[in-house]
Amino acid sequence: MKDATLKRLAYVFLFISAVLIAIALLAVRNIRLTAEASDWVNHTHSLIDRIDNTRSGLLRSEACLRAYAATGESGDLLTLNRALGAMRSELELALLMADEHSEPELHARLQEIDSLSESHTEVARKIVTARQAKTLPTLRHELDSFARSDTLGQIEQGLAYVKSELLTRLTERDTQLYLQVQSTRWSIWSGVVLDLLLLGAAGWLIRDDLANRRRAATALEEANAQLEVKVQERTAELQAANQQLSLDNLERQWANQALEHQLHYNHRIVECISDLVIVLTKAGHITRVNTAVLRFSGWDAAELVKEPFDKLVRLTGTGETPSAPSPDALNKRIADAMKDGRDLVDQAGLALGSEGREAHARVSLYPLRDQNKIIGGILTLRLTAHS
Amino acid sequence: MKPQYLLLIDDEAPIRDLLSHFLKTNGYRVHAASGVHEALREVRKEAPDLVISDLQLDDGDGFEMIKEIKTLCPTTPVILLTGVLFDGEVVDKTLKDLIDRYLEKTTPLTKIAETVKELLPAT
Repeated sequence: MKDATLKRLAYVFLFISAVLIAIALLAVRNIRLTAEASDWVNHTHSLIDRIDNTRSGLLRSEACLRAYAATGESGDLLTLNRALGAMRSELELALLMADEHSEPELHARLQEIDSLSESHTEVARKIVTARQAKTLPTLRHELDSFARSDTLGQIEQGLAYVKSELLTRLTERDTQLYLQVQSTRWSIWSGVVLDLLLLGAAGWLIRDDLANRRRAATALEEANAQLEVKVQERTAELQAANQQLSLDNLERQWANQALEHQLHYNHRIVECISDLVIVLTKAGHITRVNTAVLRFSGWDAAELVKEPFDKLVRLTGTGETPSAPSPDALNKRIADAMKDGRDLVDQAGLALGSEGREAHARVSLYPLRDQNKIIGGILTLRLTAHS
Repeated sequence: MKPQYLLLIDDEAPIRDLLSHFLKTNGYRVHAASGVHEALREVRKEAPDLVISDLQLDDGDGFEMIKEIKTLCPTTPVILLTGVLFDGEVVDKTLKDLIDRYLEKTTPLTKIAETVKELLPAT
């Protein structure tokens, strides 16, 4: 978005610059043309003045010639000479001003007028000479020729033509200049209006771009805020989960520790009893004994585990005398009591050990229950005397 | 605001460390004593807001120590946290003059925290 706007703005300002340069070039060209036109107009007016002065000199010379021919006054002659001189000099100036290359037709016409003016001057000299000589017939003849001659009319016509031509050109130039000024004015105003429109377009582009940027910034801020909220929520969830995990971990450690403590304590209770304590399975195999059993029997725990209980105990029947003939039958009472879930308390028996060790003992059996099911039994042997 | 002060008495270091850490994370100030003598010394130094004690201690009897603590700080509630006694309800009834609550050592930590909060005076 940013690059596209910059590119568009660059194009717009390039176009504005091009229009401004075109307007400037047009203005410079028109100033130059106006200056040239002004020179030409001055020149043309000056030429028209020369034409007018020539005509004036021509008319004055005619009047003075007629007066001198009639009166022979030297004053008239002097005025005649001045008028002729003025006419000739003005005509020469006009010839110099009319450029042969740029205005060939006018130049040719002026040359023609010049020739006619020379003829007119020559005629005037002849009349003056005849008057001064006082040769009346000659004077009449010359005056008659002068009166019948069309030279003055041709000069006047030529001068009128040249002046008319110059005035026509002035008018055309005025028209052309007016059109040029109008064209320049329209061009400049059009350029200015176009530049203003382009500047407006550039402003609109900038405003549009700024609005887009503001919208984008607002959207970004909103997205960031939403993200921040989500991050905070997620962080809070993680913290809560972490706290819960830590608590669970601590709880587990505590449970293990408490259980270990309890087991240790229970173990110590059993261990501190001096009676022989033997834990049996339901089938009568040894699963655990206390230290008193190991101490008496001389066996270690590995030699007793899974062994039948009669490795450690044998019932002897009632009384102090052991009933040797059927020890298996007597021991069966223990198995039957456990199977039936009955206590067998304070029975006479022998505690047995390694290397034939024996000792009289009072034997008790307590079935081990768990949720009303017999899962084993506890045999206790209280030693009465070593054999 | 100053955190409430708990005195924890147990001769087993792992039990002491775990419970002490847990109670500290719950915002309490805890002193963990390993025996009777240290506990009584701490009580004389600063009366705790609550006492949690085991029963069997290396250097003395827990009952006697609790009696001494009750003499020194009659209003301080005492929780007996042990695994060597009878059923909780029985203990609560028989020892109600001496202790405020009996908890077995297998009691979950959250339950211990709830009991502590319940027995502590409102701040």
